[in-house]
Amino acid sequence: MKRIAQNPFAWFVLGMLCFLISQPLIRIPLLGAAAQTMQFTIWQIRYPIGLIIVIALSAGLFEETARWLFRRFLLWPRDNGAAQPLIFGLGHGFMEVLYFFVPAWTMMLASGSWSLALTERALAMIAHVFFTFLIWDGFRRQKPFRYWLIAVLLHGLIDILAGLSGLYRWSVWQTEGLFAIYDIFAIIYIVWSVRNRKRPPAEEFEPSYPEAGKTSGVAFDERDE
Amino acid sequence: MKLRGIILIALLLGVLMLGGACASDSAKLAEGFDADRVEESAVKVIDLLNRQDSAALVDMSDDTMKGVMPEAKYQEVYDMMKEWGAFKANEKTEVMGQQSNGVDYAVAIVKSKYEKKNAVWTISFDKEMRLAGLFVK
Repeated sequence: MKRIAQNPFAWFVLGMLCFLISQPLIRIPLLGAAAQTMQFTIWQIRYPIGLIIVIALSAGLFEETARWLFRRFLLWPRDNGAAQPLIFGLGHGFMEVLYFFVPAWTMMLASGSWSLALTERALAMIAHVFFTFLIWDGFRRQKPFRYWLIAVLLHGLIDILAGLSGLYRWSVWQTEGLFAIYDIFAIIYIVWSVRNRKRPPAEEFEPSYPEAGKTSGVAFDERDE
Repeated sequence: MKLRGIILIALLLGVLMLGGACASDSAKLAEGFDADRVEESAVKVIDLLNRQDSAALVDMSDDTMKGVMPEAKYQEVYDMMKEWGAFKANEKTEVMGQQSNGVDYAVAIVKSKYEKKNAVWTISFDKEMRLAGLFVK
């Protein structure tokens, strides 16, 4: 299995599985069952913003935890390459497209809203790649739980915006505009993360010690972050 | 646990509490509504639905509701209700207020037990106690 999981195509498929397991197989059925209860309906009326926040954070919790688990146990090689998080993130976003977008395709074509839907999906794909880079960077920097928490909160943030846009009836393009601003920061982070991979992070650097009788070729102080 | 982690979790809890606080006041029943009367009217609506009395339902609806749910449209609701089996009882009711476009409504959430399924009704009334909204899951 380790040999199969080193294949980039496998990374893409694992990304798809990650979304499939975390959302349609686990979170969405749980949410659906909760939504059938009287208490949920009461909260929808009594605490609409609170409920939006909880639901949004749950999306972050389930997806980022699944991403974390996939990275921890199923992805190889475990190196500093940028290709793996990129391909995995694209796979994750692609499965989301298949699940949400494809079933509504004919309706979108009929209503003429397909261009808007494509825009929205493209922005969502960028976000998925961003979250994947965050989780991968957590392992690379040996702070997996901290980066996991950041990914959960940032994922929750974008879903909170989506929820609030429905509650306060923002225009579709206003909402997409906010997502685009979010994605600009996401792209900046991705580029920074990729460029940062060319030098090993501090924890992995081995200081060179001078051989006996000779001065050091590379001084410890010259490590550049 | 590191200080930054504690601050992060505190922020998260703060956001959640803010979200709850922001919305709680809007759920109070507005003046001019009587909670008991709202509950009685909601139970009456469910009874009319169980008896498939579309004419009475349309008669007690406001103008918007009459446009959205004419008599013929109620057949879709009855077809769905057929799968639930016979009506057993209304188990629980909660009454609260809601505002939409600056207009106050009373909302009754009723959990009804049927032979094969439970249903949660969300029934809204305007100040004149006319049926203004009907939702079921």
